[in-house]
Amino acid sequence: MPNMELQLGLVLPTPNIIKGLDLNNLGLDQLKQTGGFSDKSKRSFEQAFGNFKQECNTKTLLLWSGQPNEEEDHKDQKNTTFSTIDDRNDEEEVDQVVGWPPIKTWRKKIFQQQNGVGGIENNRVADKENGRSIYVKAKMEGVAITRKVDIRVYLSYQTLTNSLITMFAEDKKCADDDYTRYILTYQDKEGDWLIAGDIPWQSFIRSVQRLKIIRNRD
Amino acid sequence: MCVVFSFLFGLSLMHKKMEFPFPDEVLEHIFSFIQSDKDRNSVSMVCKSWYEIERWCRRKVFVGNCYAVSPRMVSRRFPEFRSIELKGKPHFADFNLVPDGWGGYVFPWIVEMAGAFPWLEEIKLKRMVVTDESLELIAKSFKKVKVLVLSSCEGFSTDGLGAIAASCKNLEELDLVDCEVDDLSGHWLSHFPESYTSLVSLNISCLVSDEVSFSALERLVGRCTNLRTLRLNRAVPLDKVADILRRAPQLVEFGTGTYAAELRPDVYSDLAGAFSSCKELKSLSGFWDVVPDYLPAIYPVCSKLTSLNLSYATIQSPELIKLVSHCPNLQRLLVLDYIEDSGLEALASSCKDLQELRVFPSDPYGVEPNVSLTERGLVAVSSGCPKLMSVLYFCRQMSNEALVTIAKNRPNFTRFRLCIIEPRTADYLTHEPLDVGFGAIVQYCKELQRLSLSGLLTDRVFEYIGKYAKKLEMLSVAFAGDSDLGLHHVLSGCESLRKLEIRDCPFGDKALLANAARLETMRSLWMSSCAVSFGACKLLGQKMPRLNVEVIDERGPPDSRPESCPVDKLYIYRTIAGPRFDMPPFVWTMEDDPSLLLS
Repeated sequence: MPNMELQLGLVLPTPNIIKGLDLNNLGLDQLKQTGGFSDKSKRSFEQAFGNFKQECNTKTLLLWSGQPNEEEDHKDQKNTTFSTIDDRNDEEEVDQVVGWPPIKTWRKKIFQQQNGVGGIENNRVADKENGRSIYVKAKMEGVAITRKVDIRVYLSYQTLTNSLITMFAEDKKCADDDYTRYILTYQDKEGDWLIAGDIPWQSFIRSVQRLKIIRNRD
Repeated sequence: MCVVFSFLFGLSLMHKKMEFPFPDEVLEHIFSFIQSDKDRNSVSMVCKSWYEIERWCRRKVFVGNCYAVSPRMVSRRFPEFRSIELKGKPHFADFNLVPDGWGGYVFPWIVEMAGAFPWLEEIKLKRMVVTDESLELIAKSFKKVKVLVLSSCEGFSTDGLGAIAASCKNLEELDLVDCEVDDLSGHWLSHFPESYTSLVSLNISCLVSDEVSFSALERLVGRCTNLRTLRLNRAVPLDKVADILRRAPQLVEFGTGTYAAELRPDVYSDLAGAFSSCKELKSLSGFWDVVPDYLPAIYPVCSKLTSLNLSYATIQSPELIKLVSHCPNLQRLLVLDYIEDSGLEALASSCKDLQELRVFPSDPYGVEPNVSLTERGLVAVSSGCPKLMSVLYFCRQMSNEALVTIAKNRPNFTRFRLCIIEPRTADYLTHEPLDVGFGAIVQYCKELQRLSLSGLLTDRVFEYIGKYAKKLEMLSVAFAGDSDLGLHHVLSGCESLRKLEIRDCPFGDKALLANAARLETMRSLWMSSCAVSFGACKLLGQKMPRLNVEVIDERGPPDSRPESCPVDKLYIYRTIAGPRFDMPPFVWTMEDDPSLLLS
């Protein structure tokens, strides 16, 4: 019954996507407590999402000045600086307080291995050649949460797309809703955004830096 | 145990009245039923002769702080012990708050025991510095050693492990938990001689090198028919797991290596078949780099699983939901926050026997949430799992309302550790501090032994804690409180408190000095980035000869700054061994007042 076109266009029922992520409980209220807007009225989806991106950057600035200037433990991951204010880079990393959040050293090492050490520009893990995970950030237009996927576990565009659908669609059951077609795009090493699928899979995984699923406006 | 105790009480009364008709051997026999350290200590305090009898028959010695007592004192008091458990660094060392070189060396203990206790059977160490030299000395000196557990230890390499493997013919358990091991090569496993078959439990999950000697591992597993626990490290590939499981179908606890491989039907069916043949499996762990398509291979064993550690498995909520719905008998679950609220709701409805839950952050340093995990998940589990007693939960938002609901749902909590990732985060609904919420936790959960606080908290929460948390033994505090009053409430109110660790709180001299006597009834107090002055530390050191007051400061000697200057880190612990002599240059023990030592 649901018509899921799986070449590269992702067919997902739009209302379910939005419903699955209750933005009011995710981004907005966090901002309210730090940013400084006390307005509790609900906003329209677009307005909320647009403001969220903006406020996120403001929040980072507040945090930057607010964090205690702890001595760095040399073994710790080097602090990542907050990136320039940019629509795409809306997941900055906090100037780390030593020993916070309280995660055991050994677990932290695994986490660092899995997620890469260093700045925003480099999501690649150093030992990818050994067959370890390669994590890239995946965003979907209209969705606040940025996921991270390990593209090493996928063997084709097909399996990657399947997994992305699973990740971003809270509710797979389709009623008689409108379907919106989505396209999978990726940012390559040169920083250009391209439509996924044109190059062989192996070349793709060597080149991809981040993924973004955008609405097909054709 | 109550029966034995009341019987003993009666006996002790008789003994005190000098009408005791039974020989010492009878008492010794009765004492042998008393295993718990606390009870043994109580028994030894009844009278002098009980102290004597007890010390000769204590077989297990537990030293919660290796600097509270010296190795010589232990070996003198307990000449016949067979098992020793030692803990070194303070808990906050787990989070890099204790600088390298602080201490916690096991070598002096091994040296002391090597001569006098050749029959030693068990050595269990936590947060200690263990060198290859120590391991070699263990291998040489204790031919009967059966159990070696190293938990959060560091300082040794696989060479030291090789020495253990080569010499310890009676070894049954080798358990390395979260250790920092210099993993030089996987060949140390081949040091277990071909004649060696006693292994019951092997945990090498923390070894990080990519090399593992598969053939040595497989042969070892194959010939040790009593093997019950096997936890592999990440280097062991998925396609080797089937072979290993087939050699050890009797396994009760198993940890995989990397759980990723190219999707191949033959590898999959091999794996699924191997898991099916393990009829005794109750605990699974490992699951690094999980390829979701391989997960169903474990479904055949899921219905019997009581413990599942998926805390390194980067699988998303839908797969996690499928998995936990296959595990109705789960008692213990460790998982990443990929499980999300929806997964926790599913857990709450499938796993009614759940006793312990730990949810770790998948992206602890990110600013915005990457998963939909909020207070709702914790509320769901607290509501749906009637046996839930122990929780460790990392999240990004919380409300007083949720905490009150959780407290009322689960008054049987014994361990409640909540980490709201951003320090000083207020109630996201009301923007108030979370005092009331945590207050409800301590008020309703009367058996609470361990509590970790987070979020925006004022002195008020400490008032609640001091008032209600009468059974609390360990409290962890960060970025909380307004004044000394907060610390005072805790120290004066929490009667059972043994360990208190505090960081980045505005607690200073007053509360500490006012409650100095209390510190002698606790194991230890850690305070870092607080407001305790050097002067107060000196005073405390002078007045309390049975405490070691250690100032840890990498900025340089504290007396190069004014006395009113706050110290960087402070570690206070009770001891009968006096100041230690193995301190690095950045640690100073405050001196006892010599006149007090004479009294």
